[in-house]
Amino acid sequence: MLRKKTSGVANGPLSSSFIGKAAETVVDRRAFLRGSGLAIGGLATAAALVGSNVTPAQAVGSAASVEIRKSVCTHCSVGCTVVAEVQNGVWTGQEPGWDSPINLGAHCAKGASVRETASGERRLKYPMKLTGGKWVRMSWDDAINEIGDQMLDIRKKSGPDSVYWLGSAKHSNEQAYLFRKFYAYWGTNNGDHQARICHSTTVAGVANTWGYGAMTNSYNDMHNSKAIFIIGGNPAEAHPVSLMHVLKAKEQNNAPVIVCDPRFTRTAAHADEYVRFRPGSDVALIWGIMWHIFDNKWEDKEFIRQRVYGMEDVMAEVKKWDPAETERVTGVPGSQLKRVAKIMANNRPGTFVWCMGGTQHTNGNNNTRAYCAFQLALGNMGTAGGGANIFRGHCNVQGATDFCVLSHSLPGYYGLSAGAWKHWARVWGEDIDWLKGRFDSLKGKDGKSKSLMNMKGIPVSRWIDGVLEDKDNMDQPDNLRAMVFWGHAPNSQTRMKEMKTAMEKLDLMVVIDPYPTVSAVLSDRTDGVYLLPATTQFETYGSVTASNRSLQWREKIIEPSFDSLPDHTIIYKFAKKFGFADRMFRKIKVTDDEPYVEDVTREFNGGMWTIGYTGQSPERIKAHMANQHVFDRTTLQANGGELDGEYYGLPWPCWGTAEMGHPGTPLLYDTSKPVAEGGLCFRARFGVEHEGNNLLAEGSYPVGSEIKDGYPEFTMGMLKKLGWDGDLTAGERAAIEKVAGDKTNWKVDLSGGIQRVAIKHGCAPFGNAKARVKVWTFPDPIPLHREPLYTSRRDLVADYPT
Amino acid sequence: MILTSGRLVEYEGGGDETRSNPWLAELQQDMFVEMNPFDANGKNIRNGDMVWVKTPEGAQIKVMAQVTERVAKGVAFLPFHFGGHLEGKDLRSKYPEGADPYVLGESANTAFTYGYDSVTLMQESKCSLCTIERV
Repeated sequence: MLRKKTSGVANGPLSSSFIGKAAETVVDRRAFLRGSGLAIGGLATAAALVGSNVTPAQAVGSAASVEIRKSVCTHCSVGCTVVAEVQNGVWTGQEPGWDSPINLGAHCAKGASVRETASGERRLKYPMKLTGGKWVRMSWDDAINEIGDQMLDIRKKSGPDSVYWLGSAKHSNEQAYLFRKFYAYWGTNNGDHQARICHSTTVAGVANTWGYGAMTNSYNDMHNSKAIFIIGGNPAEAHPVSLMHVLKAKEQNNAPVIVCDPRFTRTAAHADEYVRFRPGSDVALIWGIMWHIFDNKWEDKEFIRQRVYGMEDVMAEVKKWDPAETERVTGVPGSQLKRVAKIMANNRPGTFVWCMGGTQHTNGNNNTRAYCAFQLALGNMGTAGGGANIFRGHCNVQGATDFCVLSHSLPGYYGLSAGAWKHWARVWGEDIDWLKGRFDSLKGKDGKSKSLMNMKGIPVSRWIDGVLEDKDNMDQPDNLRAMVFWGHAPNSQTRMKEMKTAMEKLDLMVVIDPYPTVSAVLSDRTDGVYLLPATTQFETYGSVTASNRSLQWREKIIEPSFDSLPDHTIIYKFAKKFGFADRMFRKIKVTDDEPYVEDVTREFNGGMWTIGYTGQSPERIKAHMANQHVFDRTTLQANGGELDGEYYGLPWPCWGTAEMGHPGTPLLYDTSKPVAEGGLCFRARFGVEHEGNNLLAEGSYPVGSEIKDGYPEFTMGMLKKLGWDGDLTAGERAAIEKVAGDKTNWKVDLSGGIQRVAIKHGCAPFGNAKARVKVWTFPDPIPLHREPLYTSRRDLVADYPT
Repeated sequence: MILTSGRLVEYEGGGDETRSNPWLAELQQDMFVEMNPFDANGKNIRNGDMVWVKTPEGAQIKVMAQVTERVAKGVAFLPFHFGGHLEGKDLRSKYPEGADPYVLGESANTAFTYGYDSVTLMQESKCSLCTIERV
């Protein structure tokens, strides 16, 4: 815990046995290392960790033998470049990436010590199994065979849905994509990952407001902000390097920083205005601030008229949140909220940052949509310095979400409909009937058989119930009988005592991770647990997506330590054991059981049209990584050279094929640029009208658009109507015809022709619509305050039912 | 009291990697609960005392008290990266030899309770209830 050290003394008792010995006296760094048996080499490492740009003089003589490799930190989602020094295959030194426009030579404590993550001695070293309460070392072949046989047996007796594939936000993009494809081939949607319990409410809330569920701007773009509003986030601790960008705006633009949090965090310590409110009252707080905005007519009326649907309904709800009621529910006085409203109104564009404090609630989807409504009311969307800057938590939680290591969708948020499966089967070159045959089916209430292929699987937050619940209450033939924890910390999930019971009931538990994790020790099992050592991302290579949607390429720094293997190799081994490796990897070269990563990137480039993961070929991402110095540190745009005009990491959507050369989209929904140069509008995702009202944009469109108004998403039929189909090449036309003729939608056109032509005419392939603050498909179309399930204010439950 | 949770700069996620990293482990050695001096004084709890945090669903965790005005009266905060202790029991001996993290501690999520978002089934880990008493 945070304590001030006096003369290097950490006071307070120390609970763990290994520190215990040293703890009786005092613990300073050396004593700590002695106690842990790490004194040898400690000083050398300490020297390497001192963040300095100065090459030590003695390094000159041995410079020839030092190789420099670039990777990306594996902790939070900021995406800091790690520059590794390798000698004779050993990672000997580490520097922060000075050329990286993202971290600009900075690291936090975690980033500065990642060398230890890869080379650490506490790694899980060999495949092991728990036998009679003891861990026994085994070979990879034996492990895959034993686990595989048990899984195949479970599959035969209980169906494919009785094995749960729990993936990771630490996979690279390629591994995440393969993992998602892998459990599709196994025949289940029972797969998910950490994002469910991080930002799922953001992805759902935000995507249902304006189209895409991701951070709209970037860390760097905050340099343009005139005000910074942070709620339920503590970037000073959770994303330390991002705070550099916040503080730049604070110093350079004199931008006020507003921090709303129940706890006075280290971030709050930087705030001009700290708003302490009761946990779980986010919607009430936001509506309470907006009450002042509407009361004083500070909203951006023209922006709302052109680009927002449903704001009148929000206004009606906000009217209820006068200062007295807001204070009764949130505990914040009206005078402070009036000040906050005024600051945000007078300092536009302002950015809006939120994290887990807003999302991890029973009312999470209402919170995230209230935040969106706030930014839309002020006209802060689609502009440099504005935006919903949603900081994500893990190094590739954005990528793993985009590739839908989730229980409710195929990669690229295509969903689980028959059309979605057809699309991916085309990309994979797979026989759709064979895929169908891999899945179980259930008899519906109407007596008809329904394939589980098209039904959502169990989300990770409920896997416990998948084991413990009566199987008659479940939408699958049998309970979960085997769990695979692949890069997942079980202690990130609530209800751990019930989790322990669930773990004990399983037939089989498999943990695949560089470290044993809490999964290895939580339950009282004595048998049927396997630990398989995975590599860290520093021992393999591939792409990773930072929170701002930029892709970066990691080089392999060192060979895998001990017996560890990279995730994609382990996936291949299981696919081989289950007999579908040749099908699953038909487009991917494999050597010694290791799939060729660049082939995987190219395969997903061919299918991820929805969100524009199509233009980022491995070659382009690598070129950006090698030329980090050419990118502007605020706009992220390359200034001169071969990459001139492109945005760092080709932030998605990077439309079309790599050959089309789209520069990436640095700010979502920014109409001040042509789509071909990274501009956009809000996505037409919810139809063209609702209850007789127009949902398309009115008089707002990206610069250079030949359609000077809103329009729906593109299809082949629409191209023909516009008379633009003549711009298609013969090859594109043939590919489109093959999918569904005139009905072919831009998302399933594997040639990319429809979007190429739309963009050529200045249009966004996904249409041009209004954002909606009223989501009529959700339980609360207009976000409402609802008391937490376990509330300290029972007096409010009658007015604001849970 | 209201129970909430959050991150620390030294650790990440479930903390297995970072608590196995000596450079980071040294900086955060104990799982703790932050509580306001008003609440601590009322329960005769001093900074650094071991306390039980008990929840409405019957779980309890044994952690060190951090008495601070960082949290308001009636609010307790838990950092969530710890693991390897369960309801006062140290599970270190159950790790494979040589692969136990340097720092273990109670998991905040042992104390967090049932509750899910209606649309996405997001869990509730920022707002629950607890009582705190001295060990």
